[in-house]
Amino acid sequence: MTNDYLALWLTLKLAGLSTLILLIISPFIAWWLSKSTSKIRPLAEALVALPLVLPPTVLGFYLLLAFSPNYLPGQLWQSITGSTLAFSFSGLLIGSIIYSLPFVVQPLQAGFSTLGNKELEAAHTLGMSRWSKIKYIIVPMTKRSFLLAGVMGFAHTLGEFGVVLMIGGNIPGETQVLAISLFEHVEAFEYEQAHKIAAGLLISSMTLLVVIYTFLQKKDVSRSTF
Amino acid sequence: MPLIINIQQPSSHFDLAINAEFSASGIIGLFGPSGSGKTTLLRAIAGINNQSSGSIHFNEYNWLLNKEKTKENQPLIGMVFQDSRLFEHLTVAKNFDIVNQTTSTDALSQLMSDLDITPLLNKFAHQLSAGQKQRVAIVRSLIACPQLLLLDEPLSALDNKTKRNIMKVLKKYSQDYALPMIYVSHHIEEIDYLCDELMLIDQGKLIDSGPCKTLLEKHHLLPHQSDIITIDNDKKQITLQLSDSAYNQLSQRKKIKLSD
Repeated sequence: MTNDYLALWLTLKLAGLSTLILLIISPFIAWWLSKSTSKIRPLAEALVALPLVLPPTVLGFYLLLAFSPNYLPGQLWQSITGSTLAFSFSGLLIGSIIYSLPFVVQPLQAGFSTLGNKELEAAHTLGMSRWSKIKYIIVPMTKRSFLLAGVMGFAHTLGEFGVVLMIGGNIPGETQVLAISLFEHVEAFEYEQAHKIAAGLLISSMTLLVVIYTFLQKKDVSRSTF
Repeated sequence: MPLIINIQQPSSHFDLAINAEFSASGIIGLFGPSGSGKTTLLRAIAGINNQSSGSIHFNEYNWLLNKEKTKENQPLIGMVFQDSRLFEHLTVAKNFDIVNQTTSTDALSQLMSDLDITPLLNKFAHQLSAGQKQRVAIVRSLIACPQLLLLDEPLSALDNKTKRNIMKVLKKYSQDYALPMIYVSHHIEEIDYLCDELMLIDQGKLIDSGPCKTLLEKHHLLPHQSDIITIDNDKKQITLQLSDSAYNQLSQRKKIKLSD
């Protein structure tokens, strides 16, 4: 397998795993952010949204420091697994999750805020369990938000560059994702290979977004006909 | 079966402070002007109001409001909301299925037949009219088998015929299954027809409580007592401000023509 195919596989694996983990942890964060009246909520919201405004290299730099064996997170990881977190796929995965967090949390937070309390109050008076409320009310009524969150998280991870480069470097088969592979081709004046990767990323991201927005529009139309 | 309510809740308009005791063997009416705290009181009893404090004693249950540790000891308190609150993304059948149904099949069939629900089972909740939604909401609350059912102006958006039918069913169900209910309404005719006991509140305070008929008479609230006749000699015109029941009775007389 050439390095580009390895990079493609690694990119899909990274995006898929990041999205999966984000879809597991983000609903809890989004729920708390949408319902809490705590005084620390603005701080928590700012922390979640930080990757949207921070240069990826800044985030990558601090993650690189945290992942090194000189600091506690890196030390802990090394004592448990015996390997370093920096310049590894695991480190890349953690960095991607942090970097893509707002792209998954924010659509979910918007969905939960729109949901309101009416249906949940009704469920309470019907004696429904917490699990039944999640399964039959919260998730079905916010499935558009889950769908959008998943697609945004996946598409955003596909195009990651700055954070990945800072914490993962450019190790083929381990940390070299498509965006870095593209950068390497451009540096080596291999424009044909660079074009293939760039066009592939452009078309796949665009297609993904068009499909999801078309699907959501159809849902809107079908709801408004009643 | 005593129901003792002791509830306090501060608010910007007024402080709700209700302390009342009922036999709770039938339907208790809750009557008062708009903004008197009726819905706030129901929400506090249902346990969906976190700002309330106090206690409720009901049958063998005795629990404190806003205390997490005592919530397990609460009975199921059902509530029918004014805006029905069906799960609109689900069919009527699914709205019933997801509730822990402890009602017997016979009772459920009878209930669905009485309220003409069967033809609606496969429709989505958002496809129903206001009256249909409210009928479905009442059945959904009843099949959850609550030990106490709260009804917050459940018939306010319905026509008279549908109202009468639903009131009959509620009264029958309360008697047949010994299910105590607290019924909020602005319409004294509904209270008069349905309720055994009555609680009058205003500005968050209990004005009076006791047997329904006695209280309605004592406070001049019976339907015939609330009719108003105004005679205008100049215009040679008589104006009648009638309750629904008086209007219905008069409109059946052929010699009298009534306009709304």
